[in-house]
Amino acid sequence: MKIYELAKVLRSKNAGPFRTTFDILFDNDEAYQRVKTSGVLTRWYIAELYGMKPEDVYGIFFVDTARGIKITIPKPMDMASGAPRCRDLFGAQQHMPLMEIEVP
Amino acid sequence: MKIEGVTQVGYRTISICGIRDERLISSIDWFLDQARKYTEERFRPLRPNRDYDLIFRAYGKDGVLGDSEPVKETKSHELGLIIDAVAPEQKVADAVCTSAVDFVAHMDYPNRLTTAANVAFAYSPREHRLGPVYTYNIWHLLELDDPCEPFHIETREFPVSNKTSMEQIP
Repeated sequence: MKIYELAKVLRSKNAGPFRTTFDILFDNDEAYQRVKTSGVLTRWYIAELYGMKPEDVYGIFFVDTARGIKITIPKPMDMASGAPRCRDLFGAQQHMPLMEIEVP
Repeated sequence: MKIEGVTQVGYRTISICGIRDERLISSIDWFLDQARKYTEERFRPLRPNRDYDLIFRAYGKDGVLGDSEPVKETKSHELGLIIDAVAPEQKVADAVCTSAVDFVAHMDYPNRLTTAANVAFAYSPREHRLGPVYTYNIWHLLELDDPCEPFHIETREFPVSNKTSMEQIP
């Protein structure tokens, strides 16, 4: 099953001009726990999806009380919000590679 | 305290056009590389330091995600292309954009039939000035014991009672 089939909200946005953050929110514990315990969301996998080194991923946070997952990564150096090569001023459409993750 | 600031990096000129020919869409990466190469060759004698930036934004291919786009071959029947030039002066951005537009519009590519022009321009004139371009250059946290420390607060009372004190106000 793809992660977008399990999540209620899956979005990306700027966390300051140099970072993109992703929120994955679930409307039931079963779906949240399934994604959390599957172990697919690792810094190695996120780094591969977004073309960076695993140590560059700022963090992957699982917040049980909110049934939410937060992932924060750096933007490519030349693509800071508003920079000449910026492709997404508010970082609002960077979620697609994450959305397609297959959850066992 | 969070400090944010920007610096001006130049001026921007863009052109917006569409491509509706599968022959060109299927070789779009090669085509845009060639257009970039020709534009750079044209400007090498004039701008040897290549102090401008030429950006092709191909919507329908990887316009949003760039290098992170997992779909490597577009299945779209139509592409939107923004030819985007940023340079230290507006007239240089104009010139770089116009040259790139010329190559994109009239350059040859494999199996080309469209010798009138390769792209459909959305607007007349073809190029549009977007003016100054800024980028973040300050994004810091200032650790303070007292949050009011960097702010100078001065109290003045009005009306001022006599001429002497009025002259003291800068």
